Amino acid sequence: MIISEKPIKSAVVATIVISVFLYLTLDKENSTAVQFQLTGDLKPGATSSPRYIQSFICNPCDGPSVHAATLVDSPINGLSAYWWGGSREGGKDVKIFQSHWNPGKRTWQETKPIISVESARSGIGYIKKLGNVVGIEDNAGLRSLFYVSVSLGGWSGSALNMVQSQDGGKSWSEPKRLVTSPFFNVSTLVRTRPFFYEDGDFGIPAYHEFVGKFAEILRVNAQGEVVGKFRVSKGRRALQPAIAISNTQSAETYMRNSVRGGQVLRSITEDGGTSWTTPQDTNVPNPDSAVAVLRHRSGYTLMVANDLHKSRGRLSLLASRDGAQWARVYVLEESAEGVKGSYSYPSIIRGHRGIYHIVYTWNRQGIRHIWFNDSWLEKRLENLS
Amino acid sequence: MTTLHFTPVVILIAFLLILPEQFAERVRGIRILPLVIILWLFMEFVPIGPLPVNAYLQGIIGELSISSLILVGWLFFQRQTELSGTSVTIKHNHRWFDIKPTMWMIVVLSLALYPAALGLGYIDTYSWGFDPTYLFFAITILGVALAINNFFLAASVIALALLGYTLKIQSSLNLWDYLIDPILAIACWVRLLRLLLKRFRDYGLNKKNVPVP
Repeated sequence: MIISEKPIKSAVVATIVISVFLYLTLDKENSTAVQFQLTGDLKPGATSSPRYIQSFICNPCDGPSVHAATLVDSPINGLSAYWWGGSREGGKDVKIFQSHWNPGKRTWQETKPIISVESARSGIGYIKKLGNVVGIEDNAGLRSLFYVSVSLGGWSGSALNMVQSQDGGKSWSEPKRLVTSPFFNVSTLVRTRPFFYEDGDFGIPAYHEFVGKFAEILRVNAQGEVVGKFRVSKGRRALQPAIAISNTQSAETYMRNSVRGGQVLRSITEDGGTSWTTPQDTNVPNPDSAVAVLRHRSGYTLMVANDLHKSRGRLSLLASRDGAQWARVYVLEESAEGVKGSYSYPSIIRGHRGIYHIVYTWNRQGIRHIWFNDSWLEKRLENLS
Repeated sequence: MTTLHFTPVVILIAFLLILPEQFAERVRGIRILPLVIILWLFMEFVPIGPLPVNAYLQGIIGELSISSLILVGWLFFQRQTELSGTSVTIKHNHRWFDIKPTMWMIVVLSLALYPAALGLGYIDTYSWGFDPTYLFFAITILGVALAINNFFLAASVIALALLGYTLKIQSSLNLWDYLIDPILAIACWVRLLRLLLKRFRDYGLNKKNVPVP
């Protein structure tokens, strides 16, 4: 069969021209200026006597191993906690659990598994195990969870997935896989709380553990499509970026240091998260462990971290005005001498009722919950200055 | 609704391509297209354990690029037409058939993409693919240049990847994911390195055979 080259060449060039035309007419979502959406975290709360209460969401929980609790709050659906639990980390039976906070009774409702390996496979394909989960809810009450799944190998082979709920977590959508990486779409993990951009897109602090260990921010639209990606660190050191937003353009991120004996790392943006400064050491020791941060209206930034170099045996609430020098506000948990305790992976939120909530893993067997109010916190912050 | 999987088609054709010549000769006799469709249906709908084969493939390797589909499809078409004795030739121009320039192009693109995506530095070329005006027009210019210079296959790969991106036919909104994927990059690297090695060896042999004056 002999064909002439001219029609083929014309077809190829025509396809390119059509593509250019279509590209020029495309609605480019991420061409708008990048701005952070401000949350209600900074509003003053109701005045009342100082309260500080420590309890458990579950201990023991469903499954002998539980970890990586996170919080989601909104005026519409209230406060909920999410974490994973199962026979062991990376086990095939690991599920993602949910529990709702009852603000009247000040107790947690019964925990309920919401995502299993089987349900996570729906429409996605083969999934071997589940990992960390984070979530956020918009002003219309649409709750979105982003969770890690692995199809092959260890955590370096992980991908991100999204499910959404219109009814405060009673029912969830089919999972959607986020396309985040050019390597078989693997090696993207989450741990720290997402935020919103001004246009309603999600900002998801993420990190990689493949050849490099580094942090980045993913910009994801309402359909669960990644529309932007901003690198925070490089190399093999900074992980799990926790974001504290100051205004629509400025934010700081504090990162776990994967080098044992290192310090919590800090990076700053002044352009809505498009570019970040080179991570610098803070004065907070870090035993290769996740941190959580929150802006306070007094100008302080709050951090919950294991402020030790070698163990997760102490969890503290710290505060700083400049982000570099931190002072301990309160020891939330500390193991007794000779006892090997582990209090890790904290998440902190200031709920819509003005109450601060912290959840974290308690010795890998329970999910601990602490709540306190502005009066309790401000008294302690006054002592710092 | 069951999601149909695109990646396994590429894998299936690639698998048929690496089968020995004798087998290829034989399956030609029983009409290859129905065989491919039956195999694909089997992989898509018959569960092996809890899931069908395609769900495992898609879960593990994600989505492959349009470039992979075109190149694998082209190689398959070329081989089947050669086997049936009706090989396609284009008037006056043999360069159009050559897959090597396309492989070189993929190798160059892989060098631009993957090292930066590993987090070695602050430049992340993959992130350019999300808001890709500069990248899009650079690739467009490359495509037009290739078409003008009669590199049909390479230009077609670019043209269809650009079209696929503008029509958003894959789940990614990143232009790179339409142009290249790791399996394609590895295949091109291996093939070109083998070719270079062969050329190097042949060169060595020729040198040895040169009679001493």
